[in-house]
Amino acid sequence: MKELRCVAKKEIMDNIRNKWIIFSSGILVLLLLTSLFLMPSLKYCADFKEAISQLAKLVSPIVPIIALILGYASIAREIESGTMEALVAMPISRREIIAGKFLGLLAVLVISISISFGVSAMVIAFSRTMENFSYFFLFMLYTILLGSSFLALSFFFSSLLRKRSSALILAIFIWFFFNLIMPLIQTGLLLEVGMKGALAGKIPDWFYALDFLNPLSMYTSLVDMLAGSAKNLPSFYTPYSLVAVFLIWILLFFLLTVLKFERTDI
Amino acid sequence: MKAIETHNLTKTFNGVIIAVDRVNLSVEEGEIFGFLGPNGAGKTTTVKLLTTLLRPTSGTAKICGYDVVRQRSKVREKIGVVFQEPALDTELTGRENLDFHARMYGLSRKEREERIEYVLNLVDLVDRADDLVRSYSGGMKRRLEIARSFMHSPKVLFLDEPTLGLDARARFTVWNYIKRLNKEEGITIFLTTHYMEEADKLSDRVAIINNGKILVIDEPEELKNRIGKDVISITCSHPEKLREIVERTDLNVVRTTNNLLVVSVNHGEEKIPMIVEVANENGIRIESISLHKPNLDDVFLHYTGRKLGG
Repeated sequence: MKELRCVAKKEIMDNIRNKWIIFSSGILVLLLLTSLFLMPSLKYCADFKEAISQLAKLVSPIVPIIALILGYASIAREIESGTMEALVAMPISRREIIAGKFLGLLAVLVISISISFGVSAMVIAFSRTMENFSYFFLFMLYTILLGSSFLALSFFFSSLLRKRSSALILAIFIWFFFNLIMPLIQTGLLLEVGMKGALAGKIPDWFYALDFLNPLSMYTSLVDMLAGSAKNLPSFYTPYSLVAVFLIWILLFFLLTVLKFERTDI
Repeated sequence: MKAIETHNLTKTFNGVIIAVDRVNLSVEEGEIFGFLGPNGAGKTTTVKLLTTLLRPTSGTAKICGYDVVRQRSKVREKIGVVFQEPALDTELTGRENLDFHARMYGLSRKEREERIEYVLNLVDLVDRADDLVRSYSGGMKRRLEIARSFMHSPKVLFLDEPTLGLDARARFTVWNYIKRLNKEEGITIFLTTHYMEEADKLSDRVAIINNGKILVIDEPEELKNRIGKDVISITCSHPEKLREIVERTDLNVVRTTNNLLVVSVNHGEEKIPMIVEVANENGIRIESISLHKPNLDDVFLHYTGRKLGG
């Protein structure tokens, strides 16, 4: 356990100095602040409930980037540089190494998102009156879930590769896949198979079920539910089920990483 | 108790490539044991097996009495490793690298502080301890790695090609640290190298490995004595023909490779005129001839038929 903490701490120290993490976190703060003060739809918004749907549109592409930067090379980089060889020769199990690294990365992600949201919340609190502040906190938690799922995904792919360059290409693909390709596939399927129902105003249940395969869709739905703008949803599609699927995503890819890493010759 | 003991240690990859072939070793406590062989001979694979990074296909290995498969954690507590490729976190400072290592081995804060200062002093890196490792030279990185490897006072230290890629001066410095470590801390050192001079200068005993098999194990001087007092290397037009001729005399042919004939003799300086004479009589053109004391390269040539350098 002590060794696991050491690995996590080292991971935090390694990444907290990462200029790309600092840069993308800065971009997130900047986006949140400028949109709250400059975007007409948010500038005069007196209720966080109304604001978060629009904020989510800005946050959703950036947070996966932060998570992917953290995770994409976390294992591949250490294998490539040789430090993993030294780590696995120490009195610590491979399972503990992976758990320590993941917890360290997760901590950096949570710190990054918390600072970004925290700074925005403080600025808002001092400059204007807004109701339903607790919604902003829930919005932040959902954003952490989104980031964590992308972190788990990129962490797993990092365990499959031995080179940082390949891991980077894969991370870029993951971002494009979930941001652009997957929604296109989902919409294409709806047009092809469920067009009739959609025209009658009823989106088929399987369309919602497909959302479970895309953390970004789940995040958007969660935020819409929080904002109260989601209607006519199937019974299985609730905030609880979405949060549960998020947690399954994170756990599944974490366990897959452990399994892969235990079988890898370093 | 032996520091390292292996019995028919074997490692195959994909069931086809035999990287380590029934290796039997016995290394005493406090010994510097040189593992000499060309690239691809199986040195690193052997180190990986002994440091629990790879599982043997068959055979057994024990470090300080602990089995490398069944008692991995115990083995890891007893060993320190310096890998062939640099394995430092370049985004951390030298001190942070050492601190992380010490924490992983459960050293208390006081022990960590004392030990870090001690090892930094030993490898002369106190002044640069708080700089990021990425700003270090190759030699400094190697020294830091060696310092890190004995932070937790291991019983056995594995050094896999510790001076690979270093210039002559840095190499000499590292040799001094290795000797000092062995002497001051009494650590058993298992040193792999393909530099014969390194194995010769540092090792109490040397094992020569080629194609995964150990060819011979002995003290460097004994190995060289097996060849003879002097070695004469002759580059000529027909080495095989000259070999047949000298084999009829009291000269001991070590090997012939390409256009090189190597013979071992006593009082070599007296034999050179005779070799030149018989070569001339038989129409063999001698391009060069040299006399030197036997080294481990000659020993390697004797056992494998090829020079260590390639």
